[in-house]
Amino acid sequence: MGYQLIVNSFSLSNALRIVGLLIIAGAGPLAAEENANPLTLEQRQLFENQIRPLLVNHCLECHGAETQEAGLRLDAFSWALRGGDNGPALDSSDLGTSLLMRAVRYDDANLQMPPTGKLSAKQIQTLEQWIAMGAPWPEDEPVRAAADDQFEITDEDRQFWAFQPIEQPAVPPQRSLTTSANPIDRFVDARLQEQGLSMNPTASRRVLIRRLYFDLIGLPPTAQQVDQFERDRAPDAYNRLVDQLLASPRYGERWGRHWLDVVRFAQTNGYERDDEKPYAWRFRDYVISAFNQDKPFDRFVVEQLAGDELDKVTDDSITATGFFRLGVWDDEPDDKQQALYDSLDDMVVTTGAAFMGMTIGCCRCHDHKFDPLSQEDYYSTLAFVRNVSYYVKHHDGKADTTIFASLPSGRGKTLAVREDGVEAPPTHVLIRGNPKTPAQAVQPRFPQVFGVAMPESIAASPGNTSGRRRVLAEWIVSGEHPLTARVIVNRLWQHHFGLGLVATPNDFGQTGMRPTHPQLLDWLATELMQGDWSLKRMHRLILTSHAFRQSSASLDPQAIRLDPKNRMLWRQNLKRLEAEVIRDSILAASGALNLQMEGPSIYPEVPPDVIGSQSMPGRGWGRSPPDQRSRRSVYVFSKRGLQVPLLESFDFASSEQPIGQRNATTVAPQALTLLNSDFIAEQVEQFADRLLLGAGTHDPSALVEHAYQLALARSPSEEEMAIAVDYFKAQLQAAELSPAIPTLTPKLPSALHKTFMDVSRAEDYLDGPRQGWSYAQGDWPHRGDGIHWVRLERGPFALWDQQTAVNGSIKMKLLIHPNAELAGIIFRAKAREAVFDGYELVFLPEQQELSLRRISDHEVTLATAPMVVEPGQWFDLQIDFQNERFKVAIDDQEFINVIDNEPVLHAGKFGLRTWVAGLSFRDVQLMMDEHPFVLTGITKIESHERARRVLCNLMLNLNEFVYVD
Amino acid sequence: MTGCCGGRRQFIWELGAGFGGVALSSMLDQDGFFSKHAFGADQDVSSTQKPLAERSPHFFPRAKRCIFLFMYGGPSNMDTFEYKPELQKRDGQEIDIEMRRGSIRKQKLLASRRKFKRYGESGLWCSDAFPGIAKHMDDICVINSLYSDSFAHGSAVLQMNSGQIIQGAPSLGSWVTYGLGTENQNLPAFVVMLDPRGGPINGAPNWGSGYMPAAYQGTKFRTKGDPIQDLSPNGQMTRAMQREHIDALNQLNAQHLEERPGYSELPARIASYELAFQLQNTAPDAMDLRQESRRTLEDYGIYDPRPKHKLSLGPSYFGRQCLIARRMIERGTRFVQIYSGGGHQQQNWDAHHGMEENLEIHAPEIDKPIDALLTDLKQRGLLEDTLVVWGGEFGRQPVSQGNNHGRDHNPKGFLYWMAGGGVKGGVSYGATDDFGMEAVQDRHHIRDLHATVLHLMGLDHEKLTYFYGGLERKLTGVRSAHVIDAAIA
Repeated sequence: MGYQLIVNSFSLSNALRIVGLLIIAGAGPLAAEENANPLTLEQRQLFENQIRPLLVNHCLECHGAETQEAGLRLDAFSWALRGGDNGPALDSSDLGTSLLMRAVRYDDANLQMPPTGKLSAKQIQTLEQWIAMGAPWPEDEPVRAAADDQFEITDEDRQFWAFQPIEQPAVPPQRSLTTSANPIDRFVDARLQEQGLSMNPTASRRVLIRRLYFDLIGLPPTAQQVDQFERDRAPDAYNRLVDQLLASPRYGERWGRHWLDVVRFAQTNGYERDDEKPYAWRFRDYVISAFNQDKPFDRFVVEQLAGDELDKVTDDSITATGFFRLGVWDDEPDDKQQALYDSLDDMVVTTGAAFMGMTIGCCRCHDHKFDPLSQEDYYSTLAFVRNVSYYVKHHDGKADTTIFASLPSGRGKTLAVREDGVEAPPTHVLIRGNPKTPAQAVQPRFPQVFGVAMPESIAASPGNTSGRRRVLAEWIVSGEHPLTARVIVNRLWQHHFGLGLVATPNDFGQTGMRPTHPQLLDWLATELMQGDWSLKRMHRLILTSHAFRQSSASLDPQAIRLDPKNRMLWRQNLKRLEAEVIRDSILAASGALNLQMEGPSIYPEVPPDVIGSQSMPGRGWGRSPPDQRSRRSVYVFSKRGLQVPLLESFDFASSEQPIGQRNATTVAPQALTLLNSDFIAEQVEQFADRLLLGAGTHDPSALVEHAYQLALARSPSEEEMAIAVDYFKAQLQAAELSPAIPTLTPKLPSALHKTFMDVSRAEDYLDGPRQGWSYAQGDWPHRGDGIHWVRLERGPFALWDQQTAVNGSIKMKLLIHPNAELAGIIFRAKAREAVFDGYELVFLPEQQELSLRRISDHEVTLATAPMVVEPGQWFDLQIDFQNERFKVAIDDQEFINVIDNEPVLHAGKFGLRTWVAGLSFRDVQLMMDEHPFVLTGITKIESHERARRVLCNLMLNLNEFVYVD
Repeated sequence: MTGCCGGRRQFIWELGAGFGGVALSSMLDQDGFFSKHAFGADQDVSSTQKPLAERSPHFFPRAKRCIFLFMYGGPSNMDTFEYKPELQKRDGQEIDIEMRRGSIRKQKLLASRRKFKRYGESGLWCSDAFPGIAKHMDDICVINSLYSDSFAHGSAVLQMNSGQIIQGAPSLGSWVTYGLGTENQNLPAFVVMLDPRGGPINGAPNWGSGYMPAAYQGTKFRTKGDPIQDLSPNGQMTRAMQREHIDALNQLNAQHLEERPGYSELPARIASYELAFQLQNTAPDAMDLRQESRRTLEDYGIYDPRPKHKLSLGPSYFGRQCLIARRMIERGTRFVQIYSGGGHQQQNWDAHHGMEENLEIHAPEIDKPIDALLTDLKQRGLLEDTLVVWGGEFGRQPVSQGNNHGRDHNPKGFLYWMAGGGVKGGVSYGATDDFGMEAVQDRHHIRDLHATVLHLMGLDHEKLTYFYGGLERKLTGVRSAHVIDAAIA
């Protein structure tokens, strides 16, 4: 980056201070941090405009990063101080007589630099001027080059298990006739035998079908499916079930999601705007369909890395290259060069982690501390993707054309990689990863430790790209690569057992875990390659092993003592279901699950808080109709800056880095979400209806029986039945005793971005009784940058639509929820677009005040009174309104009695509003111009329904619902 | 992590490897709940299964907890706490200045319209934007000479929160709770309170736990309505009914557990429901300001009316948050972060469209509440071991921007102040150049500020590491960071 010419007139004192500092620092290379004082503009101007060009043009060819004649480097201050064979080029104790100056002055016949001819007098004068300033050199210069510590691959490095070629190991002999003939079991058994242990017996049919369903398709089996399997006594029943599930389209949705974790899939860029990546959903669909088709894994890898460089490109192969575009991307980078390399780094890191289980990203700034990977290896790997065109933001709002491509079939566009031409720009090792300090140039090549030569030349691809990525991809799937097959079979194993044979699926290096069963791992890897890289075949092998089918019971005291973590697999593992599986299972239990596949993503409803924590609240989020909201979680819009709380709390994968294994935490917010969230309330409502319909009776035992069938596909035990029936009856009684209380609840935060207001209907602002009521969003003035704030004086409200009146009275019981910002009782109200004209009694809990207002073009306060009611407590309210006279009584005590001199006398409606927290109301008695109305709502059926909902909620919260044996 | 867990491998196993079941809550093992059930030899609830269990610091902590007041948008230095007489003299003169990375332009200096005075025995400068905070200068250490790496909000806010300009690293609050756990298992350990005008840029990743388990992420705490999302039972269920609900659940889960001994995650999940139920008491209690005197509420500005400016909230909102922060740290919450400013530009401290207007909107929103908070903490003896940190993602330029005398972003020189737990009060440390453009004296990258915060809380930034992706990660990153000794008493 060139600095512009700067006319500067100050800070000479700073310059002197810096000179002092540099001199005090004395000889020897300076640590970067000690040299942290910045240059003044004047110094920087001199250095960048005159000194650096001079050094580059006349010195660095022989004394730079690549060549060091006489051991001297002049591309950093510290190197100059350190000097070469003839001593320091710059002597900090006396800069003026430094070797450098003597050389350029041609004073010494034996030391004349540059050798090609003396610099001009002007140039020497400039150097002197610079030296006089104390030879200021910008701080971000390299202080230490990679070459400092010679990188060397030792024999020990080469011996590391993960770099050994994969050879098919001999299968251990079968221990006895009773043990399984599946080679997997023989490996597992052999290991257990060393400890005198053996595997658990086979799990029950009921356990097996649940395990298979969750593992393979991520959904629970229905009660009918369980029964059928239990009754199927044919010897191949199990294998047929495996085949059937592998053939289900649900399989791709389940296993595709595992892959999406690994490739840090998300549909937005992250950072400030967190804009959508166009057509990212096509990549998701591609992955799902690849698993469903059992696309050979080698092909799957090649398509993602180089689908555009293949001899024949297809819709699939182009879409697959979206792989390169999925990462976090800053559309407003501070430093574009840095951002370019951050983006390339994301590609290198993900490629290393996803396909090779390597943490090559560690070598961006220095040689790997643990693995035999050098910084040069990193940049040589980066050179494979160096030609990928970097996309820049278009501030006109148009999507950037560099990140998507037309599908070859003409069926639309897709997120895709792109290279602009066959000629890749040069790649340099960047000292300390800093783009401003390039060192030696490198060519694409594989990390040295693999000892694999590159092809003689790389042919450009017909698609006008460098062809480099194809070379990388073909090496990865060549069958010679020691990691590719091991890494993917380990991933399959991991999702069937809860933990991989290598427990760190993205790190097969020194810092990762060693395989517990190295031979088994290699056997599986060989099988995969010999079986044409078919993943479904590998699933079959694993799933038909006894190791998989054994029970998860943790009872064997000997095994618990010797192998408490079950690393030797004496049992199956109990597994916590993943976030998506939990959500999908809830939808399955409620009956709402919509199995529609493919296409643009869906937006579940999220709480006001989640919307409100965006800097442009709601921007980039949408609303989907209920049937769409009930689609599987893999179709939920994956936005980096906004996660669906249920998914987030159950450890949904971070999309910022490749994730090999998710966390499985247990924290209180998960319980709160499953007990109390709106999503659960909505699902429980449907579940309760379905329950009644299915049971066909109000009888508690029949309902409990059916609830167990729907949620867990089994009958309750006697004890469970007793507990659940007792609980149901208690809830029923409680529901009958306590009236059903309608509550008005705000659903959006107080600031909203226009784009989200555009997709929100009036009913989306407040939740409350629907039948016979209408809603309005209130007044939301614009506050700049597309953001609107609610005007509290005229916020969202609900009107009871059944009757209008000029005169009348309102009697009701009210509860203002703690910390509500405002609650209002509206009457004689006429809706005018999003607001109303009429009267309102407003409770302002914070000000501990209530006031009566007339509202037309503006608000007029007619009377105020102290608010005596406590939030969270029920109180009686009575409002009488007769022409110009208004009376308000709370708990039978009159607080307001006032005459409005300019009354609005139209016939209007009764209504309510509240903001920030809810408003509950009951026993509403209205007198509307002689017509009495009572709004209650409590009936016997409703109590029964409420109790059913509570029962359904109970089912969804059981440990059994979120764990699989 | 050195100091509080087993070896690295062990740790990966427990936290990263998934089925080990990361749980919390010491309640049940206090009750002997776990010992009643059969567990394998090392399947008791180890410390790593309780990510928020209280842990020992690396050395004696000067502060046990931290309140981080984040002025989102980037508050000015030369209008607040760093008096620049030379700038005041040369209002309107042209200088060359780097406005964005590498883009140097001629711009006109903009003197502060604020009046500065020296306060307290220490004589620290403070402008008349903050008459309330000015009273506390003897307790405050102003660090004038910070710099960071980005001119853009997105990456700058991330860097201030997580040390990295790349999205995906754990935030400071996550690191602190990872290092120290919490003193109160019945409240979130790391709490975030947002401005009602919206969250900061990037949203949730600012308080995310990045590559650490979600247990370390900040919990959004509302000051109105339900304090924590989904805290209250939905619909008609009362608290008593929810108790019965959880009792029934416990009974059924106990049946399930009985058939599955040896899996500590199952009782841990049962425990998490108890904690959830406890939260329904403890969280609303922490925000129940009715327990405070009228006088206290007035001091924090909670009754102050909303000012005239259409973008201003007045002190009532931030005041409420500061008071709740005090109540939370009293109850053992480890780290509270409050954002002042949300949405865009003048809705936060991003004063492109008028420095004076911006201060008019935002300074009164925070001044009275912070005055009250510092006074309150001191009176209660809490300031001794509570660290209060104030600042934004960067500072602002000394030159004028736009028609309304705004100021643009400046990451090359800006200030933070700290007070309380172990901070040397009455100190003004480091300096920017004559105009406030660039840190020149005692310069510190913000990783040094992070190292200092950790240090005050008893954590060594070199030792507080988390193994992820082949590296021992640190809040301060790969470059060496230095504790700012001058700020420490």
